[in-house]
Amino acid sequence: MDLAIGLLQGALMYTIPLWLAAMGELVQQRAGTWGLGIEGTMLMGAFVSYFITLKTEAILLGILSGLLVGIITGLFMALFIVILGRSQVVTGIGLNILAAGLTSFLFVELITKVYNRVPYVELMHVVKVPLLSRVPVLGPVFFENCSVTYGVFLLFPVLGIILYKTSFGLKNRAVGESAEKCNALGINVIKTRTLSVLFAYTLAGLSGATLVLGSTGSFTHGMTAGRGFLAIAIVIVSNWTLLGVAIIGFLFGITQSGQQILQIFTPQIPWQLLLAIPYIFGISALIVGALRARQPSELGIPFLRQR
Amino acid sequence: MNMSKQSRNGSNRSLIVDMKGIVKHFPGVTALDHADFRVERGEIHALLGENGAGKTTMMRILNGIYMPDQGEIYISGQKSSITSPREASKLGISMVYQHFTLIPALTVWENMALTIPSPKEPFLDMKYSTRLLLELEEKYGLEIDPTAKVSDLSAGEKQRAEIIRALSQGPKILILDEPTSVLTPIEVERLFEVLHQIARQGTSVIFISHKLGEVLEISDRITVLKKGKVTGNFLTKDATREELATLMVGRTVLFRINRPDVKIGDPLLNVENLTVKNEEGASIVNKVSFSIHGGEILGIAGVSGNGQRELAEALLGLREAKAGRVIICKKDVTNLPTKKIINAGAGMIPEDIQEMGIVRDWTLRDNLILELHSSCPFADAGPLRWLSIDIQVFRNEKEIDKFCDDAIEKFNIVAPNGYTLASNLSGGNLQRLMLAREIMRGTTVLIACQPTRGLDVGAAEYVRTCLLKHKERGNAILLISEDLDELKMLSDRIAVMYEGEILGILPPDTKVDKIGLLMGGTRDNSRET
Repeated sequence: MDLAIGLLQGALMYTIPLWLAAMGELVQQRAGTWGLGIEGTMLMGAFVSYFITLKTEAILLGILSGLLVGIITGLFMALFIVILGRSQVVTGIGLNILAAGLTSFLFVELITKVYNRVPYVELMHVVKVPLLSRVPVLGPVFFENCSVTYGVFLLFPVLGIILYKTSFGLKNRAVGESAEKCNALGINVIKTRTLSVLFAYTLAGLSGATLVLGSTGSFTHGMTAGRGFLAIAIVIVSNWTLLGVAIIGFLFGITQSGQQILQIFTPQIPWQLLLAIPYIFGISALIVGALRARQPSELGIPFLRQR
Repeated sequence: MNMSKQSRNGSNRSLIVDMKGIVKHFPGVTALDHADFRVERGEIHALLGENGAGKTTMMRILNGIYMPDQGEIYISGQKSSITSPREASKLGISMVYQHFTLIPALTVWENMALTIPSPKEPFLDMKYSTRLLLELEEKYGLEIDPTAKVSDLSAGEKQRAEIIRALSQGPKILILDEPTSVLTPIEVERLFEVLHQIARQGTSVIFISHKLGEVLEISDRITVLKKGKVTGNFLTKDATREELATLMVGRTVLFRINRPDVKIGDPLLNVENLTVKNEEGASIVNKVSFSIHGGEILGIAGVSGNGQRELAEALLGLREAKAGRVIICKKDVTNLPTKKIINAGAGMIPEDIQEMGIVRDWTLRDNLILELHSSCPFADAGPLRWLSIDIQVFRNEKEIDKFCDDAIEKFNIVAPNGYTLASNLSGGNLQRLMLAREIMRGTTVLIACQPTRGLDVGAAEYVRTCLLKHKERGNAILLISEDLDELKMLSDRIAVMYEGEILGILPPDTKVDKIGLLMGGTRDNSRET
């Protein structure tokens, strides 16, 4: 039983940042643009939140700074891909490269050179939900978490209502299918898409913060290790549905947690192979899922107003 | 008299739309040249003209998509500047376009919800939107399932949904841009009833069309546009077909093309019990049989979506024939690769030339030799012929140039030279390109799909004359068209297709309502073959 709890807890820890990034990316892609820069944003969010928490010793400021990184990045990305209609692939990957270089450089200059080690920061406090946290297995897994995790749990139904049951969400979905037609109907395509991009990158920044303040308490070069792209894969495999993101995201968590446990219990299997399991799962899922998936009709096609 | 005072101070108050002196330039062309357009309250006003005459441009200005370079617009007597479709909507102007505006991935009610907020804003209310739709459908006699995904609707249903969407705003002015292209004659009649109903309730209807018959039937008043200028404006009861056509085109247009008697030859195309299935296993072409002899045109009448396109594709090997046979010039070509079918003598002018008939990024001359590009005389052994090797590998540019110049001359293709890109050619010229290609390479069985769709009177006349001449040379033509007038003009026999079956093959002088009944699915008891 402890094994099961350990597996699920590990899975959840791995999944939370993925869920955040994937939810944001889902909204952005449903509105018609690829957010390929969330990997870099996650990394920058991680570094900034680590640095701020280290300096201010206030976890809350760390979280907020992660959000802020996301917002600022989102504004830039929105400018380039929505308003100017530039290549979504180039800007996204460019952002990732910038983030990798910038975070590594700052990490060396501001942390390792200054402290000669990597100081740990305090993790977010775990809050136990009274009564529910005593339920066997599920209790310790789902009801003994930090506030951000509870926030993510709530975000699913809230986002679901917004995306599927409000006119705002309808516009978001419509704009990714036929931007021209929406424009003809008087919908502000630029505004809708900009908001979706902002949402995606803000969540990606927060996701980076949870990586640091939720599980590790420190930073390292290239910490995100492809999670951003994993989030994009989750969105695709889930056929661009929120429920799919929840399920597939958690499955990824299980594979990661599972391989960590296997590393301990089956040392015969080379750990490098085990480390690859989540990514192998990701690729296989993509192959299977992408065959049946139908992407938003105008995903990737910039909307350029002509008069 | 106060006439001049009126025009100085503004607009005549009984007019709901008063557009004065509209000028609109696009790079290289003047779309509208000081055009005036006036619509009265509760009137059905037809805007008539060829393609490119400026009708759609004029209406796009009225609907806020374009801004005029010069001129003034008065709506209900108030000077207005219509800067966006949303502005137009606020002024009570609503437009149903030729292309579809509903978003295919969403359902009908969701499309409605995009423009009509529910009372539970910001939340969506499916029941509310659905009820609104059903009320409108009831009121105007149009039927659509509100919960259906738009991409699942047929062309006719999509059309109806579009009209409902436009009516949902309770507009004072309803603009329809060529709305009848996907409707059966029965549905056209119903639409006209609906339009009369709308007009009686005080909404003005602007009906853009190039179909003279419909314009004469439905409208109270007609404005004719030619090359951006208004050439005529009168009450419909004072107009005649010939007069309208002349004003549209500027020369007397033949309505009845002379159909000389042609000797009927051997059967060149035999279709026996042809069945084609779609992805779900249903028969979209169901046991279709007919034959066309040399010197004959067989017309296929029917509303788009009843299997005509799939029939044409099956004949050319683009679609699998699950059962039955296709025989061209006595050779069984059923399910053979398309190249073999083409070599057997078949050819097609597809419905969507831009998609299937040409390569947009290629030049005119390359498109002209498209099916013959790897055979004599356009491909030969080139330098290898010195070695007495006879293969068709190298392009013979001289021959291609000759062919191209010949085609341009014979078929009046308007292009600076053979190196013009196909994407720069107009619809009419693309048709000529297709005609030139198929006719000049000697296609014995020509399948022409909607060959005059979207063309103006002059261009259409030309296409029909070409087809007749081709037939006179002893070739067989399968003419698939939604234009009944055209079918009656050109065909020696008319087959009516409905839901994949041929319901009857009739002589061309059969009354339109009888053909229309078959088009709508009413099976006829007396079948003639």
